Amino acid sequence: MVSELGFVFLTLTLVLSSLSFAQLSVKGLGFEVFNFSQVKLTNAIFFFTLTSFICLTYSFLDSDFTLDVISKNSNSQLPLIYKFTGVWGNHEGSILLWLLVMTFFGFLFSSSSLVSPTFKDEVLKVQNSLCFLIVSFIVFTSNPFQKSFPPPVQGADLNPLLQDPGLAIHPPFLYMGYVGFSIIYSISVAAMTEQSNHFLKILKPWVFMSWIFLTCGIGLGSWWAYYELGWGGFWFWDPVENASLLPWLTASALLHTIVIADKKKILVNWTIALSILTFILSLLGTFLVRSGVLVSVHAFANDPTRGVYILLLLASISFYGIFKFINHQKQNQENFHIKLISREGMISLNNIFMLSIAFTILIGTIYPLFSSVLFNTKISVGAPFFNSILIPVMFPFVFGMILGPFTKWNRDDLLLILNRIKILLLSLILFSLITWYINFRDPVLSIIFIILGGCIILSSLFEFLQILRNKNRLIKIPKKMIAQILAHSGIGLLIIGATGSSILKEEKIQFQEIGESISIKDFNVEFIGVKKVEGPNYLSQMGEFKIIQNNKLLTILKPEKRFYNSGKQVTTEAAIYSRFSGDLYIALGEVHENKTQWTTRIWFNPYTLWIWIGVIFLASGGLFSWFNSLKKRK
Amino acid sequence: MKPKNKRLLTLIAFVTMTSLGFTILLVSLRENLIFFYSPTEVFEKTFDSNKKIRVGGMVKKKSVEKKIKEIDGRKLEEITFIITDYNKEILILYVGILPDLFKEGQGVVVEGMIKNPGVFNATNVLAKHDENYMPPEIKDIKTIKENSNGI
Repeated sequence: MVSELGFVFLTLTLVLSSLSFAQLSVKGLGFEVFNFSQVKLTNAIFFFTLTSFICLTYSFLDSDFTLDVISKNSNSQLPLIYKFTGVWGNHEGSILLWLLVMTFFGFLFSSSSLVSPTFKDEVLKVQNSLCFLIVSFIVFTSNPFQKSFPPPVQGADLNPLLQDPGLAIHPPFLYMGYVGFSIIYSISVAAMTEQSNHFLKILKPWVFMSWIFLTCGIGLGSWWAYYELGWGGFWFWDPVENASLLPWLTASALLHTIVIADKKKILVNWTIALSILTFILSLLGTFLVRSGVLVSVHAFANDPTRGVYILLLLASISFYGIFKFINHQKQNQENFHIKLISREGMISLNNIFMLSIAFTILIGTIYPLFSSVLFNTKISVGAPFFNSILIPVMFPFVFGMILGPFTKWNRDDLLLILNRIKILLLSLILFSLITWYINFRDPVLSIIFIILGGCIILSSLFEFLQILRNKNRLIKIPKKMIAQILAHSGIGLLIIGATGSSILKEEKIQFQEIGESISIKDFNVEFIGVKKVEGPNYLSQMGEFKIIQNNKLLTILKPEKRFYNSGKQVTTEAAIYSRFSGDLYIALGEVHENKTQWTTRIWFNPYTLWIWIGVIFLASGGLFSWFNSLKKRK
Repeated sequence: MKPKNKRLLTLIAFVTMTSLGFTILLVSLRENLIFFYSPTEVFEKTFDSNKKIRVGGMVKKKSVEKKIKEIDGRKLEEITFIITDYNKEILILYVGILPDLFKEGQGVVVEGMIKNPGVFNATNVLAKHDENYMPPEIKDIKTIKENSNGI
C-alpha cells in the first residue's frame, strides 16, 4: 500500500516537473505560452519527492519483499541501521536519493529571499527541467517501486561490503556534492539568459557547499576502501574514483576563479564555463558508475538501457549548456589583461594546472572505452600512467601554492615577493635540508614529496603568523585567508600522507603460526589465535594479534573474516592501529589445513592518518569560505 | 615590444606548451596500457616477460591448490589455479591473499606477467564489489560457453 503511494507521488513529480521542461523547451523555440509560479512548483516537486522517498524508506524498514529492489537488497535479519542505509545501497534507491537532493536544493534556492523573483524563476525553470530528466530516468528505467512476482519470503540481503557505517554515509555526501553542481549549472545557465553579474554572489555559497560535500564524499569513500577492502591502500585510480575526482578538480578551479570574478568582474565567462563543465563531469561520473561500461570495482550488474538513457541525458544537458555558453560568449566578449605575477595571474595558473590534471585523468579514464569501441582491444590504464603525469606536474603546482598567497592583486614583482617572504624561504630551505638529512635512506621521490608537502604547511603557518602579528594592530582576521590557509595545509598534509602510504609502505605476507611473531618496522606482531564470534547476521573469525614495541604491549588488533549467512559472501575487516607516524594494518587471510597456520598480511603505512586529517582541513577551509560567502550575499 | 607581437609570442608559447604536454601524455599512456587477453589469445601471441598484462576467464573447478613455500626465510602460501575460457587453459601462480569473492567456477581477472611459457605469474587478483557482477570480458566467454552447451 505504502509502496503504491510512493509510486503515485513519484509520478506526480514527473508530471509537475514536465511542466517546467515544456516551458523551457517552448521558450527555446520562441513562444511564451504558459506562465505559472516556479516557486510553488518547486516546493510541490520537493514535497512529492520527499514523500516518495519516505514511502520507499518505510518499505525498506518494513522489509516489504513485494518490491523487487527490497527483495534483492535487504533481508529481515539485517540490523535496522542497514535496512535504512540499504535504501541507497542499490541503483534504484540511490538515484531516488539523487533526485531528492536535487529537489531539496531547488527548494532551498526557492526559499531564498536574496534573489530577485525573475532570476529565481529562471533558475528554477532550469533546475526543475533537470529534475524532470532524472525523474523520467527513474520512472522509465529504474523504478524502485517495481513489484517482484512472486514475492519471495526472504530477501537476498544487502551486499555485505555495504554493511558498514563508512559506506552508509559515503553516497549521500558524494551526491550532495554532485547534485549541488546541478544548481550551479542552473544558476549559470539562467545568468546567461538574464545577463547580469549579480549572479556571482548567489553562485558562490553553492560552489563552496558542493565542494565541501564532494571533498568529504571522496574522503569517506577512500577511507572506507582503506579499512574495508583489506588491500592496504586508499586510492586505486579506479575509473569510478577518477570520475569523482574530475568534478572535484574543476570545482576547485571554480572556487578559486569565482573569487576573482566576484572581486574584479573579469573571467565571468570562464566562471560560467567552469560551472557548466563541473556539472557535466558530475553526470559523467554517474554515467560511468551506473552504466557498467568500464571495468571497475564499482561496476554493478546493470541494465544496458540505463547506460543509453544516461548517455542521452548527459548529451542533452551538455549540449544545452555549451550551446547557451557559445551564444553568450559571442555577445559578451570580455576585454581584460592579466599579469602573470599578480594574484589573478597565480589563480589563473592554478586553473591551468587543475584543468590539465583533470584532462589527464579524463583521458586515462575514458581511453579504454574508446579503444574497446574503436579498435576492439581490451585495455586498462594502470596507476603508473597517472603517477607519471602527476608527479612532474606537482612541482610547479606546489611552487604556485607557496607563492600565490603572498602575491598582491593587479601587479607584483617576483623579486619583491621573494624579499617579502625571505624569512619563510630561509626556513623552507633549512627544513628541506633537515628532512633530506634525516630520511636520506628513503627513496628520493618520497623525500622530495615530503619536502614539498612540508613546505606548503610551513608557508601556510607563516601566513598565519603574519596575520597574528597584524591582529595586534587590531585588524580583524579575514576569514577568506583562514579558509585558504586551512585548505592549503590540507593539501600539504594530503601530499605527505599519500607519499607515505604509497612509496614508503612496507608489506609482509606470510603464513603465520599461532604464537609466531613477525617483525615489521619496529613492531612485533604476535599472533595469539583466532576465535569465532557471532554477529547479528554473520559469523566472524576474529584473529587476535599483540602489537609489541620495545617489549611494551601497545594494543591488541582484531582483524576479522566475516561469513554472511544470507548471501554466503565473505568480507575482510582489517584491523588498524593508527598513529601520526603511520598505521599498522593487519588483514586476516585463510586458514591452512593443519588449522594452526593462517595467511596474514601486515602493512606499515606511514603517515596515512595525515590523509584523513588533510581532508578535514580541506573541508573546514571550505566551511569558512562558505559561511563567509553566505554572510556577504546581503 | 608591440602588443601585437607580444600576443603572437604568447600564442606560440601556449601552442608549444600544449602540444608538448599532449605528446608527453600520449607517450606515457602508450607505455602504461595494460592489455587484456583471454587464455586462447595468450596461446596465440608471444609476450614480453616484463610487460604486465591481464588475463580473464573462469576459475576451473577443483584446480585451486595451495602450497607452503619458503622465500627469504618467510613462509608464504603459493596459490595455483587454472583459468579457462572453455577452449584453452592457463596456469596461474599467485602469492598473497585471494579476494573475498574469488571462487572456483566463477569469473576472475588476474594481472601479471608470463615469465615462463604456460605459467602466469599473477601480481594481482582483481576483486569485485558485487557477486552478480561480471566484467564484460568474461561475459563474452560465458556466452560462448552457453552457446556451445558448456564444453
